[in-house]
Amino acid sequence: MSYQWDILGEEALQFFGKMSASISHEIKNVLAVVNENAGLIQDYISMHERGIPIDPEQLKSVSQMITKQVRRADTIMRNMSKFAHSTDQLVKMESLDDILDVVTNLANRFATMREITLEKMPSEGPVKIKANPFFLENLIWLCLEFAMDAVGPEKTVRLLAKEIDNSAQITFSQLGNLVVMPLETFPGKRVEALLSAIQGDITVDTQAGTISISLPV
Amino acid sequence: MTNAQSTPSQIKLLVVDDEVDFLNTLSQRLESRDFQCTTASNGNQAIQEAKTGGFDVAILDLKMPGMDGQELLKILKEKHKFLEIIMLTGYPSVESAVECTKLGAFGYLEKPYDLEKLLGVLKDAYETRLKKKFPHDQKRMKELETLASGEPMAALRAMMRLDDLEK
Repeated sequence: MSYQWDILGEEALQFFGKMSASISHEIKNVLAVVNENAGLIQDYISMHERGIPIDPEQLKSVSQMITKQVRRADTIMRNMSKFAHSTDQLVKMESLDDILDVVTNLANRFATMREITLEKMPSEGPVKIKANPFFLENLIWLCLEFAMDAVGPEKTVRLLAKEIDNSAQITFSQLGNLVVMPLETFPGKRVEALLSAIQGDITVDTQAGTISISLPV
Repeated sequence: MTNAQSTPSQIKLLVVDDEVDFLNTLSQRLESRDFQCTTASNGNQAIQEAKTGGFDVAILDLKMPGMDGQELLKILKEKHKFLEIIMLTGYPSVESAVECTKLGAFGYLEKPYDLEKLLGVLKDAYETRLKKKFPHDQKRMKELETLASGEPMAALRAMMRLDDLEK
Protein backbone atom coordinates (compact mmCIF):
# COMPACT_ATOMS: atom_id res chain seq x y z
CA MET A 1 0.00 0.00 0.00
CA SER A 2 1.41 3.39 -0.93
CA TYR A 3 0.64 6.43 1.15
CA GLN A 4 0.73 10.04 -0.07
CA TRP A 5 2.91 10.95 2.90
CA ASP A 6 3.35 14.59 1.92
CA ILE A 7 -0.38 15.27 2.12
CA LEU A 8 -1.08 12.82 4.94
CA GLY A 9 1.79 14.05 7.09
CA GLU A 10 0.69 17.66 6.87
CA GLU A 11 -2.97 16.84 7.44
CA ALA A 12 -2.24 14.44 10.32
CA LEU A 13 -0.11 17.03 12.11
CA GLN A 14 -2.81 19.69 11.73
CA PHE A 15 -5.49 17.29 12.94
CA PHE A 16 -3.47 16.16 15.95
CA GLY A 17 -2.60 19.76 16.84
CA LYS A 18 -6.16 20.99 16.50
CA MET A 19 -7.55 18.21 18.68
CA SER A 20 -4.79 18.59 21.29
CA ALA A 21 -5.45 22.33 21.53
CA SER A 22 -9.17 21.72 21.90
CA ILE A 23 -8.60 19.18 24.68
CA SER A 24 -6.29 21.58 26.52
CA HIS A 25 -8.98 24.27 26.27
CA GLU A 26 -11.58 21.94 27.74
CA ILE A 27 -9.26 21.02 30.60
CA LYS A 28 -8.64 24.71 31.28
CA ASN A 29 -12.38 25.25 31.58
CA VAL A 30 -12.54 22.45 34.14
CA LEU A 31 -9.59 23.94 36.04
CA ALA A 32 -11.29 27.34 36.07
CA VAL A 33 -14.39 25.87 37.74
CA VAL A 34 -12.28 23.90 40.26
CA ASN A 35 -10.22 27.01 40.96
CA GLU A 36 -13.34 29.09 41.68
CA ASN A 37 -14.69 26.40 43.99
CA ALA A 38 -11.38 26.12 45.84
CA GLY A 39 -11.60 29.89 46.27
CA LEU A 40 -15.15 29.57 47.53
CA ILE A 41 -13.99 27.14 50.24
CA GLN A 42 -11.32 29.68 51.18
CA ASP A 43 -14.06 32.34 51.38
CA TYR A 44 -16.06 30.11 53.77
CA ILE A 45 -12.96 29.60 55.93
CA SER A 46 -12.36 33.38 56.07
CA MET A 47 -16.01 33.90 57.07
CA HIS A 48 -15.67 31.21 59.74
CA GLU A 49 -12.58 32.98 61.10
CA ARG A 50 -14.70 36.12 61.41
CA GLY A 51 -17.26 34.19 63.46
CA ILE A 52 -19.73 33.30 60.70
CA PRO A 53 -20.55 29.58 60.98
CA ILE A 54 -19.98 27.37 57.95
CA ASP A 55 -23.15 25.78 56.60
CA PRO A 56 -22.41 22.08 55.83
CA GLU A 57 -24.87 22.24 52.92
CA GLN A 58 -22.72 24.92 51.25
CA LEU A 59 -19.63 22.73 51.63
CA LYS A 60 -21.55 19.76 50.29
CA SER A 61 -22.52 21.78 47.23
CA VAL A 62 -18.87 22.77 46.59
CA SER A 63 -17.73 19.18 47.07
CA GLN A 64 -20.33 17.96 44.56
CA MET A 65 -19.24 20.59 42.07
CA ILE A 66 -15.58 19.55 42.35
CA THR A 67 -16.52 15.87 41.98
CA LYS A 68 -18.56 16.73 38.87
CA GLN A 69 -15.59 18.56 37.34
CA VAL A 70 -13.20 15.71 38.17
CA ARG A 71 -15.53 13.28 36.36
CA ARG A 72 -15.72 15.67 33.43
CA ALA A 73 -11.92 15.92 33.26
CA ASP A 74 -11.61 12.15 33.55
CA THR A 75 -13.93 11.67 30.54
CA ILE A 76 -11.92 14.21 28.53
CA MET A 77 -8.61 12.55 29.45
CA ARG A 78 -9.89 9.03 28.70
CA ASN A 79 -10.92 10.18 25.25
CA MET A 80 -7.59 11.94 24.78
CA SER A 81 -5.77 8.76 25.76
CA LYS A 82 -7.73 6.70 23.21
CA PHE A 83 -7.03 9.35 20.58
CA ALA A 84 -3.29 9.45 21.36
CA HIS A 85 -3.04 5.66 21.32
CA SER A 86 -4.67 5.50 17.89
CA THR A 87 -1.22 6.31 16.49
CA ASP A 88 0.34 3.21 18.13
CA GLN A 89 -0.16 0.83 15.22
CA LEU A 90 -0.36 1.44 11.49
CA VAL A 91 -3.09 -1.17 11.05
CA LYS A 92 -5.33 -2.51 13.76
CA MET A 93 -8.59 -4.40 14.14
CA GLU A 94 -10.96 -1.95 15.81
CA SER A 95 -14.60 -1.37 16.59
CA LEU A 96 -15.91 1.28 14.20
CA ASP A 97 -18.31 2.43 16.91
CA ASP A 98 -15.39 3.09 19.26
CA ILE A 99 -13.53 5.11 16.64
CA LEU A 100 -16.67 7.09 15.87
CA ASP A 101 -17.12 7.73 19.61
CA VAL A 102 -13.57 9.12 19.92
CA VAL A 103 -14.06 11.55 17.03
CA THR A 104 -17.57 12.56 18.13
CA ASN A 105 -16.31 13.31 21.63
CA LEU A 106 -13.38 15.32 20.23
CA ALA A 107 -15.65 17.20 17.84
CA ASN A 108 -18.36 18.00 20.39
CA ARG A 109 -16.70 21.21 21.55
CA PHE A 110 -16.34 22.48 17.97
CA ALA A 111 -20.00 21.62 17.34
CA THR A 112 -21.19 23.31 20.54
CA MET A 113 -19.36 26.52 19.58
CA ARG A 114 -21.34 26.49 16.34
CA GLU A 115 -24.55 25.62 18.22
CA ILE A 116 -24.69 22.28 16.41
CA THR A 117 -25.58 18.98 18.08
CA LEU A 118 -23.77 15.77 17.14
CA GLU A 119 -26.09 12.80 17.54
CA LYS A 120 -24.30 9.48 17.37
CA MET A 121 -26.86 6.77 16.75
CA PRO A 122 -26.33 3.30 18.31
CA SER A 123 -25.32 0.77 15.65
CA GLU A 124 -27.41 -2.38 15.23
CA GLY A 125 -24.47 -4.70 15.89
CA PRO A 126 -20.70 -4.60 16.36
CA VAL A 127 -18.83 -3.44 13.27
CA LYS A 128 -15.16 -4.39 13.24
CA ILE A 129 -12.74 -2.98 10.72
CA LYS A 130 -9.05 -3.46 9.99
CA ALA A 131 -7.57 -0.08 9.24
CA ASN A 132 -5.20 2.63 10.39
CA PRO A 133 -7.23 4.04 13.30
CA PHE A 134 -5.59 7.46 13.24
CA PHE A 135 -6.13 7.99 9.52
CA LEU A 136 -9.73 6.87 9.92
CA GLU A 137 -10.27 9.32 12.79
CA ASN A 138 -8.74 12.06 10.66
CA LEU A 139 -11.01 11.16 7.75
CA ILE A 140 -14.12 11.14 9.96
CA TRP A 141 -13.14 14.55 11.35
CA LEU A 142 -12.72 16.11 7.89
CA CYS A 143 -16.08 14.73 6.79
CA LEU A 144 -17.70 15.88 10.02
CA GLU A 145 -16.24 19.37 9.62
CA PHE A 146 -17.77 19.56 6.14
CA ALA A 147 -21.01 18.02 7.46
CA MET A 148 -21.26 20.78 10.08
CA ASP A 149 -20.97 23.37 7.31
CA ALA A 150 -23.75 21.57 5.44
CA VAL A 151 -26.07 20.95 8.40
CA GLY A 152 -29.78 21.59 7.89
CA PRO A 153 -32.11 23.80 9.91
CA GLU A 154 -32.32 21.21 12.71
CA LYS A 155 -28.64 22.01 13.42
CA THR A 156 -28.07 18.34 14.26
CA VAL A 157 -25.58 16.10 12.47
CA ARG A 158 -26.53 12.44 12.89
CA LEU A 159 -23.73 9.84 12.75
CA LEU A 160 -24.24 6.13 12.29
CA ALA A 161 -21.86 3.17 11.86
CA LYS A 162 -23.22 0.02 10.27
CA GLU A 163 -22.21 -3.01 8.21
CA ILE A 164 -23.71 -3.45 4.76
CA ASP A 165 -22.78 -6.22 2.29
CA ASN A 166 -19.38 -6.99 3.80
CA SER A 167 -18.39 -3.36 4.06
CA ALA A 168 -18.48 -0.97 6.98
CA GLN A 169 -20.24 2.32 6.51
CA ILE A 170 -20.28 5.60 8.38
CA THR A 171 -23.14 7.92 7.48
CA PHE A 172 -23.46 11.61 8.31
CA SER A 173 -27.07 12.69 7.81
CA GLN A 174 -29.47 15.62 8.25
CA LEU A 175 -27.25 17.74 6.00
CA GLY A 176 -30.03 19.90 4.58
CA ASN A 177 -27.66 22.49 3.13
CA LEU A 178 -25.61 19.96 1.18
CA VAL A 179 -27.48 21.00 -1.99
CA VAL A 180 -26.03 24.51 -1.78
CA MET A 181 -22.50 23.54 -0.72
CA PRO A 182 -19.59 24.10 -3.13
CA LEU A 183 -18.90 20.43 -3.85
CA GLU A 184 -15.91 21.24 -6.06
CA THR A 185 -13.92 21.63 -2.82
CA PHE A 186 -15.10 18.36 -1.28
CA PRO A 187 -13.82 15.64 -0.89
CA GLY A 188 -10.59 17.45 -1.86
CA LYS A 189 -7.06 16.10 -1.91
CA ARG A 190 -6.75 15.53 1.85
CA VAL A 191 -9.90 13.42 2.13
CA GLU A 192 -8.88 11.57 -1.02
CA ALA A 193 -5.41 10.84 0.36
CA LEU A 194 -6.93 9.48 3.58
CA LEU A 195 -9.49 7.42 1.66
CA SER A 196 -6.68 5.98 -0.42
CA ALA A 197 -4.66 5.14 2.70
CA ILE A 198 -7.50 3.20 4.29
CA GLN A 199 -8.92 1.89 1.02
CA GLY A 200 -12.21 3.62 1.56
CA ASP A 201 -14.76 5.26 -0.64
CA ILE A 202 -17.04 8.25 -0.20
CA THR A 203 -20.52 9.03 -1.48
CA VAL A 204 -22.18 12.44 -1.26
CA ASP A 205 -25.94 12.41 -1.77
CA THR A 206 -27.08 16.01 -1.98
CA GLN A 207 -30.78 15.13 -2.31
CA ALA A 208 -30.80 12.83 0.73
CA GLY A 209 -28.49 15.20 2.64
CA THR A 210 -25.99 12.48 3.50
CA ILE A 211 -22.27 11.75 3.27
CA SER A 212 -21.26 8.09 3.52
CA ILE A 213 -17.82 6.57 3.94
CA SER A 214 -17.47 2.90 2.96
CA LEU A 215 -14.61 0.82 4.34
CA PRO A 216 -13.46 -2.75 3.85
CA VAL A 217 -14.19 -4.97 6.88
CA MET B 1 -3.25 57.30 41.52
CA THR B 2 -6.80 58.48 41.22
CA ASN B 3 -9.18 60.58 43.24
CA ALA B 4 -12.11 58.42 42.34
CA GLN B 5 -13.20 56.60 45.50
CA SER B 6 -14.82 53.31 44.61
CA THR B 7 -16.25 50.74 46.94
CA PRO B 8 -17.50 47.39 45.70
CA SER B 9 -21.07 48.11 46.82
CA GLN B 10 -21.26 50.78 44.14
CA ILE B 11 -20.12 48.53 41.34
CA LYS B 12 -22.76 46.88 39.17
CA LEU B 13 -21.38 43.94 37.25
CA LEU B 14 -22.56 41.94 34.29
CA VAL B 15 -20.86 38.53 34.20
CA VAL B 16 -21.19 36.51 30.99
CA ASP B 17 -19.98 32.93 30.54
CA ASP B 18 -21.50 29.85 28.93
CA GLU B 19 -19.81 27.69 31.59
CA VAL B 20 -22.71 27.95 34.04
CA ASP B 21 -20.91 26.28 36.97
CA PHE B 22 -18.09 28.81 36.62
CA LEU B 23 -20.52 31.70 36.19
CA ASN B 24 -22.52 30.86 39.32
CA THR B 25 -19.48 30.32 41.53
CA LEU B 26 -17.72 33.48 40.37
CA SER B 27 -20.84 35.63 40.85
CA GLN B 28 -21.39 34.11 44.31
CA ARG B 29 -17.83 35.03 45.30
CA LEU B 30 -18.14 38.56 43.90
CA GLU B 31 -21.51 39.10 45.61
CA SER B 32 -19.98 38.06 48.93
CA ARG B 33 -17.60 40.98 48.33
CA ASP B 34 -20.56 43.34 47.87
CA PHE B 35 -20.52 43.62 44.11
CA GLN B 36 -23.95 43.65 42.47
CA CYS B 37 -23.83 40.83 39.94
CA THR B 38 -26.13 39.96 37.07
CA THR B 39 -25.28 36.83 35.10
CA ALA B 40 -25.89 35.83 31.50
CA SER B 41 -24.91 32.57 29.84
CA ASN B 42 -24.89 33.84 26.25
CA GLY B 43 -24.40 36.97 24.19
CA ASN B 44 -28.05 37.69 23.42
CA GLN B 45 -29.04 37.41 27.06
CA ALA B 46 -26.16 39.74 27.97
CA ILE B 47 -27.30 42.35 25.44
CA GLN B 48 -30.83 42.24 26.86
CA GLU B 49 -29.56 42.56 30.45
CA ALA B 50 -27.30 45.46 29.50
CA LYS B 51 -30.23 47.45 28.10
CA THR B 52 -31.71 47.96 31.54
CA GLY B 53 -28.96 46.94 33.96
CA GLY B 54 -26.97 50.19 34.09
CA PHE B 55 -23.78 48.19 34.57
CA ASP B 56 -20.44 49.72 35.42
CA VAL B 57 -18.26 46.81 34.35
CA ALA B 58 -18.85 43.63 32.35
CA ILE B 59 -16.80 40.45 32.57
CA LEU B 60 -17.04 38.45 29.33
CA ASP B 61 -15.86 34.98 28.44
CA LEU B 62 -14.09 35.05 25.09
CA LYS B 63 -15.20 31.67 23.72
CA MET B 64 -18.94 31.14 23.80
CA PRO B 65 -21.32 29.26 21.52
CA GLY B 66 -23.03 31.39 18.93
CA MET B 67 -22.02 34.98 19.59
CA ASP B 68 -18.49 34.90 20.97
CA GLY B 69 -17.03 37.30 23.53
CA GLN B 70 -15.28 39.45 20.94
CA GLU B 71 -18.51 40.07 19.03
CA LEU B 72 -20.34 40.78 22.28
CA LEU B 73 -17.58 43.19 23.35
CA LYS B 74 -18.02 45.13 20.11
CA ILE B 75 -21.81 45.34 20.47
CA LEU B 76 -21.71 46.32 24.16
CA LYS B 77 -19.08 49.02 23.56
CA GLU B 78 -21.13 50.45 20.69
CA LYS B 79 -24.29 50.63 22.78
CA HIS B 80 -22.80 51.49 26.20
CA LYS B 81 -19.68 53.56 25.63
CA PHE B 82 -18.89 54.03 29.34
CA LEU B 83 -19.22 50.35 30.19
CA GLU B 84 -15.77 48.97 30.93
CA ILE B 85 -15.22 45.40 29.82
CA ILE B 86 -12.85 42.73 31.09
CA MET B 87 -12.28 39.66 28.93
CA LEU B 88 -11.68 36.26 30.50
CA THR B 89 -10.33 33.37 28.50
CA GLY B 90 -8.95 29.90 28.87
CA TYR B 91 -7.40 30.29 25.41
CA PRO B 92 -5.24 33.41 25.56
CA SER B 93 -3.33 34.59 22.53
CA VAL B 94 -1.50 37.78 21.63
CA GLU B 95 -3.77 38.18 18.58
CA SER B 96 -7.02 38.02 20.53
CA ALA B 97 -5.64 40.25 23.31
CA VAL B 98 -4.67 42.88 20.73
CA GLU B 99 -8.01 42.58 18.96
CA CYS B 100 -9.98 42.89 22.20
CA THR B 101 -7.93 45.93 23.23
CA LYS B 102 -8.59 47.55 19.84
CA LEU B 103 -12.30 46.93 20.39
CA GLY B 104 -12.11 48.74 23.71
CA ALA B 105 -11.62 46.00 26.31
CA PHE B 106 -10.20 47.33 29.58
CA GLY B 107 -8.55 44.08 30.62
CA TYR B 108 -7.75 40.58 29.39
CA LEU B 109 -7.26 37.81 31.95
CA GLU B 110 -6.39 34.17 31.53
CA LYS B 111 -8.46 31.49 33.27
CA PRO B 112 -7.84 30.14 35.85
CA TYR B 113 -6.78 33.35 37.60
CA ASP B 114 -6.26 34.59 41.10
CA LEU B 115 -9.45 36.35 42.30
CA GLU B 116 -7.39 39.13 43.87
CA LYS B 117 -6.04 39.92 40.42
CA LEU B 118 -9.55 40.09 38.98
CA LEU B 119 -10.67 42.31 41.88
CA GLY B 120 -7.78 44.68 41.20
CA VAL B 121 -8.66 44.92 37.50
CA LEU B 122 -12.35 45.39 38.39
CA LYS B 123 -11.62 48.35 40.65
CA ASP B 124 -9.30 49.90 38.06
CA ALA B 125 -11.97 49.44 35.41
CA TYR B 126 -14.61 51.06 37.61
CA GLU B 127 -12.37 54.02 38.39
CA THR B 128 -11.62 54.47 34.70
CA ARG B 129 -15.34 54.44 33.99
CA LEU B 130 -15.92 57.16 36.59
CA LYS B 131 -13.10 59.28 35.21
CA LYS B 132 -14.46 59.01 31.67
CA LYS B 133 -18.11 59.42 32.59
CA PHE B 134 -17.80 62.23 35.14
CA PRO B 135 -16.45 64.96 32.79
CA HIS B 136 -18.99 63.85 30.21
CA ASP B 137 -21.80 64.23 32.77
CA GLN B 138 -20.44 67.61 33.91
CA LYS B 139 -20.33 68.94 30.36
CA ARG B 140 -23.79 67.63 29.63
CA MET B 141 -25.15 69.11 32.84
CA LYS B 142 -23.89 72.54 31.78
CA GLU B 143 -25.51 72.15 28.38
CA LEU B 144 -28.76 71.04 29.97
CA GLU B 145 -28.67 73.82 32.54
CA THR B 146 -28.43 76.29 29.69
CA LEU B 147 -31.28 74.56 27.94
CA ALA B 148 -33.36 74.51 31.11
CA SER B 149 -32.79 78.25 31.60
CA GLY B 150 -31.00 77.87 34.88
CA GLU B 151 -33.47 75.47 36.47
CA PRO B 152 -31.14 72.76 37.87
CA MET B 153 -33.92 70.27 38.68
CA ALA B 154 -35.34 70.54 35.18
CA ALA B 155 -31.84 69.95 33.82
CA LEU B 156 -31.37 66.97 36.12
CA ARG B 157 -34.64 65.42 35.01
CA ALA B 158 -33.65 65.90 31.38
CA MET B 159 -30.27 64.36 32.09
CA MET B 160 -31.83 61.32 33.73
CA ARG B 161 -33.99 60.83 30.66
CA LEU B 162 -30.88 61.01 28.48
CA ASP B 163 -29.12 58.57 30.80
CA ASP B 164 -31.93 56.08 30.31
CA LEU B 165 -31.61 56.46 26.56
CA GLU B 166 -27.85 56.00 26.72
CA LYS B 167 -28.06 52.72 28.68
